[in-house]
Amino acid sequence: MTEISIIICGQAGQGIQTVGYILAKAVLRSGYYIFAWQDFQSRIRGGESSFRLVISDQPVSSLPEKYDILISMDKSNTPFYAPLVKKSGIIIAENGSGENSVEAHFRKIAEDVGGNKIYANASAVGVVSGILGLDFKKIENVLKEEFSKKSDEVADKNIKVARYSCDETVKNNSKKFPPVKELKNPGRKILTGNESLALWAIAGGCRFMSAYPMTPSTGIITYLSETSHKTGILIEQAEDELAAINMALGASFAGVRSMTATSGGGFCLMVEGLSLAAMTETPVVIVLGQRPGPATGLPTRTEQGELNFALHSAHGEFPRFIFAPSNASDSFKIMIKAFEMSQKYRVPAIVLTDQYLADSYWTVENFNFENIKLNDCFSKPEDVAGEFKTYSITETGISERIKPGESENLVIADSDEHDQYGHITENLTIRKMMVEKRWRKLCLMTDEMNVPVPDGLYASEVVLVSWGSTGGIVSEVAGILSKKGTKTESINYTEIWPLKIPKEFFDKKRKFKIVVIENNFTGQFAGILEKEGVRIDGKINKYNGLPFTAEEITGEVEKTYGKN
Amino acid sequence: MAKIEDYKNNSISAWCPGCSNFGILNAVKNAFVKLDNQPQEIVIISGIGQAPKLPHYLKCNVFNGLHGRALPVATGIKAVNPELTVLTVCGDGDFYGEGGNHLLHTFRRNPDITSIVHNNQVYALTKGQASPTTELGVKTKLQFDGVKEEPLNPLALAIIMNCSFVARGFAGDLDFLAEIIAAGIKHRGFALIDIIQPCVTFGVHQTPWYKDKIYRLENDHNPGDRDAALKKAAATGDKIATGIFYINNKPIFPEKEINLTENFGTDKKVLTELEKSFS
Repeated sequence: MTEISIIICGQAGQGIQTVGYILAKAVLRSGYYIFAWQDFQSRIRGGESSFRLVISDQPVSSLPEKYDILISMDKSNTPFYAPLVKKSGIIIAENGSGENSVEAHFRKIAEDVGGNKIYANASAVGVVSGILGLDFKKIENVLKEEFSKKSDEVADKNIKVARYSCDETVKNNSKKFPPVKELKNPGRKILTGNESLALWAIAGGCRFMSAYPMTPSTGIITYLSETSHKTGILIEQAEDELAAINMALGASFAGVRSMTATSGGGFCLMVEGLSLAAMTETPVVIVLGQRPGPATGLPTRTEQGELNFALHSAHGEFPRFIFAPSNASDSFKIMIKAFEMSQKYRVPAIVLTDQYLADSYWTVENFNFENIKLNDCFSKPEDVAGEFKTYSITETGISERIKPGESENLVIADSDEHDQYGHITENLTIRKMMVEKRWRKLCLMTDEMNVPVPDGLYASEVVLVSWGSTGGIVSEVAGILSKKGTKTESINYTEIWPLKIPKEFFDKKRKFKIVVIENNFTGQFAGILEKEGVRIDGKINKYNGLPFTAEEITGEVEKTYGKN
Repeated sequence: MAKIEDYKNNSISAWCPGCSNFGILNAVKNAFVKLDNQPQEIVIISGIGQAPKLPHYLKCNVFNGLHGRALPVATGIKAVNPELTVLTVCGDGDFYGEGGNHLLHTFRRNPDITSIVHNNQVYALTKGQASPTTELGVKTKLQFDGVKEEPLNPLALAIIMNCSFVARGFAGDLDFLAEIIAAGIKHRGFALIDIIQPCVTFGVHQTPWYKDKIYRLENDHNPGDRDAALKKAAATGDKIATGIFYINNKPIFPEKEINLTENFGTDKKVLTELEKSFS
């Protein structure tokens, strides 16, 4: 197995993301899987930030503890990130010193060769491609695609500086590194979690999106805006999250699939709208990009602290869906499912993400748009018998929908308790019927949920349970532990609520230990399982704002359950 | 041609006997008659309070949402189906207090919506507290030694923000009110219609008190004249102007008026094109 890990570091505003992205794309086209995570501070310029790129010939979704290569675009960043480099690794920096360091004068080369130090990024790209022995044609193509948007001259200068830096590195490179050989390119794609959520929302039939910008969810409305001239989706930046969710509900009431996206602080403002969605039975998809709280917390870091909030938020009692995709591949089925389920049951669907999922670049095998099948949940007006009842009492609890204005049938929705027609009522018999009607959906909603239970549950010693974005890391850990002799399985929940629990979990005689791994302090999902009667044998939690690494989880599990 | 009976429904009203809301309800229906609007073309979005119960008392599509949030819901509805005639009906606390931020940004956004505000200068449903438009010094059960905050001037605020259509009506002059509402609906852009609505239970002043103070803006007022409109809106003293203060034709939201409710699903060709950029 070939795996190379790279940190590109520098101040905010120095364009390290561009360096990383260009390298990632070039490597992808050389037939590799990539995973890239971004670590940055809540500021516009300065500070320390990094783009961490893992290149592998196997699927990858986690970061290592130590890296092979550090490219520092900024002198002050070098000592900050140097401790993350392996002993066998290389540090490439203007202030590179020591036996593992390569002195690289990105800015000087940019000025000498390109005539401007803004091409320093291209120089860094060139140096890395030289060290990795990449096919420069791949780099050249990506640079051309990215910079010809500005002008052909800018693209040419970037290519010139990158080629010069690459050639010089190859010529002078004393630090030998096994070259990244060309593999067959099966046409994989890379995209960020946010881009994937936006793309799958489009595929899920979304027609309207309103949001107030908030890290780490802003990328979703940005992508929908950039592509709106092609998709015809209407997007609107709302004045606040109250407006965002209410606009989305208006659009949904009028007859289109709609969504909004925010982070915890914005979701706080949205919860009255969540309750409105429930009472008016208006479908809506809400992406909740979690970040470390309370309050403003760590705006640009990662945490899974809002599961309980998503589950219990809003006044009154009502059923809801909660999903949490683990990567850009399964966000495909999750996002489409969120739209489909919300439409079918006329309930809100919350999709939990976090910075680790949202801002990371993930490799996706293929998109399979052909297999998408959406169900139009609106009835034809001519099929409506008699006066239309927005909230007809049915056996399933699901009432049919029509669009206002489409026929003489009027659509009446109310946030007050209402009768079947949607008119305000204080008839307490009707109240009781309506509460029961809304809750009757829960049984069918639960049937819709899938939890992937591995066959080898009883044969295993440890079962690692996670949810959402930690899934990929935890699945890698299960593989590592099994290889090292501790039979380990992993279950990652992406379809969280209504909750389904494998029956084996309730077996009092089960031998396997259940360890729940979460990027939060209290172990929220573990708590939910415990409340349902599952014995939890161990919890591993991380809450410093950083994602887990496979190594640290492996170490933790081994400490208690390992063979050694 | 539409008749007033076309909008009649059989709901039982929860308004106080003698409430001026009954008159406003009639004026709204008469505005629809004037414009020949069919009930199914109309959506009324309302908030919470006594005024927002209005859409339950006539025939039309209704979204009776949350306190303060009528405007964003209305914006969403109109944005995806521009063929609908979209109105909001709220009280002064709902629209100017709880929903104040949405109002400010709706002035800027300019959706083609007509907003009717029943301004009775009091929170009546919660039994008589001060509202954003209660005059200084008015004593209530809660503000027992008098209101200390400056009242909001919605018309002046709207004109300053270049609101597309700004008007004031009076619940004691229903023919004129119906004309104003019809003009607001017909106007392309955001129309704010503030209605002086004496509260029969908690109001400081009742309809007869207003009668000799209210006057109609006539032909000598040019709604295109922003300075004159602002002067009228800011005027203090014994006379209260009603009518169309200001009209400002400007681009609406959304720029392209497309009925998005007619298409379902997403073109696979578009998705495939988007996919390419990730290779």
